[in-house]
Amino acid sequence: MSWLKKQQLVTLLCLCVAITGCKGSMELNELHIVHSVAIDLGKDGGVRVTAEIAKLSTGGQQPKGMQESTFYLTSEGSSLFEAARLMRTKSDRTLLWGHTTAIIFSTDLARGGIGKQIDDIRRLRQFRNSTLMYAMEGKAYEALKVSMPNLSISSQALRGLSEGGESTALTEQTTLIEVYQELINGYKDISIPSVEVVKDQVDKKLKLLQTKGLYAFKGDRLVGLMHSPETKGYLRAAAQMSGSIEAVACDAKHKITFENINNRSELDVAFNKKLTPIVNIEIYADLDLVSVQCDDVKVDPGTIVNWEKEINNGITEDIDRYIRFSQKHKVDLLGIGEMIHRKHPKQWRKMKKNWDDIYSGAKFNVKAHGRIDHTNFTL
Amino acid sequence: MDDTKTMLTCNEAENKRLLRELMQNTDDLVMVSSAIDLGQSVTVCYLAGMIDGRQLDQMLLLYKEDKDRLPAFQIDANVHTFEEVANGLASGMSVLLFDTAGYGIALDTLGVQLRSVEEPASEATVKGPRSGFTESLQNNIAMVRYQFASPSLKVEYRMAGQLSKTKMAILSIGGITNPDILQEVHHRIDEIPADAILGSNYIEEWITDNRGTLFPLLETTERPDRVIGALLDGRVAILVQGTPFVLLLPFVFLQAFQVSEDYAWSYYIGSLMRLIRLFSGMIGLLLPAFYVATVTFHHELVPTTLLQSIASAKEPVPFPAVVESFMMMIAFEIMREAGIRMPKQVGQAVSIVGALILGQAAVEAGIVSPIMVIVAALTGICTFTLPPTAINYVIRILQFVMTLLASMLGYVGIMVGIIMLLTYLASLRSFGVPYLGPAAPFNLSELTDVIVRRPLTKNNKRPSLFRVIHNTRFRSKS
Repeated sequence: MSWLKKQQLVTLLCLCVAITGCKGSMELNELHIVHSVAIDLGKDGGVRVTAEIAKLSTGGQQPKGMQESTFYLTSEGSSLFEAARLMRTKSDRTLLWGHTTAIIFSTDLARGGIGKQIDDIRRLRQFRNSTLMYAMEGKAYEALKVSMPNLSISSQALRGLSEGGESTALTEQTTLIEVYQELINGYKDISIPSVEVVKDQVDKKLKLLQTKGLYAFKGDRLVGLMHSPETKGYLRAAAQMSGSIEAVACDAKHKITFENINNRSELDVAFNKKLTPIVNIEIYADLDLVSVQCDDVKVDPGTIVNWEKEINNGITEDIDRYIRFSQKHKVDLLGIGEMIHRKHPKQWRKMKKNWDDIYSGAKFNVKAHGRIDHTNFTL
Repeated sequence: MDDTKTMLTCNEAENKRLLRELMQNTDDLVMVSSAIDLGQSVTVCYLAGMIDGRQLDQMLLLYKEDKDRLPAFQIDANVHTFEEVANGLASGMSVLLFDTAGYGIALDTLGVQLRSVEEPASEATVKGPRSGFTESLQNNIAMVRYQFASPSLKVEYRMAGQLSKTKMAILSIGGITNPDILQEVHHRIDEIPADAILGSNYIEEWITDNRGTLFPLLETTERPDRVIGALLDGRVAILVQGTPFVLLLPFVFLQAFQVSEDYAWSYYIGSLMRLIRLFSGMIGLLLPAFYVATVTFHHELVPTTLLQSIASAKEPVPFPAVVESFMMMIAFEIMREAGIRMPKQVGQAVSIVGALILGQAAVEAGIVSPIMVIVAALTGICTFTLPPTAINYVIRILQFVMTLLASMLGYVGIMVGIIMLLTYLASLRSFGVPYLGPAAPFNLSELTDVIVRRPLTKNNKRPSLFRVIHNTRFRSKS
């Protein structure tokens, strides 16, 4: 290669760097970091987006990190994208959506379907797959304004609350990618955790966020709220539960409490002659005794067997409640339809069209095999 | 310089006059005439301060007793030309001139006060031998021989520098070192046209494979144990008169991460120390670049909580991240340079100014963000873990280049930088040995003693990289 050619090549390479580079760069103090987004119904069928942005305080000795207070920007548009772009007119900096940890839909909007919104969010590309999804009765932006005692950034509070679901089985973590996958694949119907604003029972002025129960969706439309027993029953049957509390009455007022430490479920589908699906759900749960509120309770193998029976009844009751709920609303959260599809493709072809009705007529046999492992001390 | 030679005459006064003239009438040339026996006068010439007077006296007494004995001690002692006399005097010899004979006798009476053997300042160790080379060539060779008492150690003297006439010794081990490499070393040293050699780097710059490269293609060390280790690997050492730094060659890149202390500890500890050095070498090269790329291009890659902390720390800083990082890195380089040059008495002043002004006050004034101070400090410290070869400085230079690339193209820029760097390194050769070996060309079994340290009991092969003749170190007796 001649010297001239080499020079030209080097110049070209340098130009490449100079021309293509630098453009995408964005200094951190030219950005607003969006932490959570609330999506409500706007006027005339539009969308109203509220973003929670952390205030960055200057001049302090130490950076506050996640302890910073927040402010809110709201804008409306005919679509989520338009609303988000119009928000820039009120914002002095570029909005960085990539760090959004929680998206809250209002139930009003969700009843009309969240499919388009999820689609828009996916198209924006900035959002992380692990963004958590919530639904809230009333105005979704109200949830953002609640400031938890130690955290003013509500996305962090919500994440913490959802993690609590592992020990209570009253809520779960549902991410953007999970919702999107289920919407696209259609293997099963989706559920999104509910979030509500409650008052503290002692300090009445203190508002708190609470995540309890799941909203069930038929396709992309919200159809109903599963309360605590249904949620527990659903999570148990779907084998998504890791810890929960079960109680057995020992006299009129008192209870014996057990902690669920392990849960496994086995689902199996068969048919009767009329092609009605018969779903067998077997639950294997391990429990520990944690609290005895009655006097004169003797812990011996005989009583333990009795407790196990009662616990199994309780578990079966929870799951039955969930099944009644799902059959009433015709939502197949467990993915029974997909199980039939995979195991019995021939029958599925016949059932596919009116699956909703078949599902609501399906028979469920629930069998619980709860076992009490530890009483935690010996008498 | 002309190479004309003038023969010594039989006239003593004439000899003295011509010698003085040849030695530029220098004032420290001492010429003492004495009558050794009747009828013959001898002039003893030497340069004041260069010789050991007691040794000279003993030699003269011996000579007086028996004229034939002296030449038996001194091989090639008879000198016949003025140039030989002058060169001998300049290198610390004493010369006897006679008024009747047309020759002189040169006596090796060099006695210069030199530094004693001390712990090498640039390569200190916690565990391992503590002696370091001095400025005396003979002493340095003796130190190597003392630790490696083998007749197969070969020393070859060479002279370079037309004016300075610097002596040097080329060390190799017969039966291990590849004769081709050794011959190439001789060839390159003989070709040096320089007038003066004042240190080992004077040699290095002349005999290196690639005179334009930033990377060192020869290694320097102050430690005899390191020299012996290198010789046993089939490498060649060049000792130069007047400097404690010995050149080792060929040198490959990954050797920059090795120190002799690795072999002073158990191989787990030695391997861990080596890995730490490799890791900190990478941090030293890439951390500022990664920081700049992350906070200007790839905000999404940082966990939200961390980004929030970085953002609130960066909020009052008026400069872009790249300017900020350049400021801190340059400040660190200045402090490091000041730390080396300044007298020990003012050391405290620099450390106070460095710690308080450049660290704390700069953050409080909102000039730099605290995260950047951490990045700059960690980067600086990391480069100090490497043994003090030139690679150390190269990494510090390249971290600026990497940061610049990162500020323009983000992680893509860093990748471009790394690819270009590796390509360039792969193209380098040190005395015909690929600079990236044994990583490229890849040799797994040899890498086990480069990236980590092999147990000595398993270390039965010499690196084939240096094309040794005899590959086996030992055979296990079982």
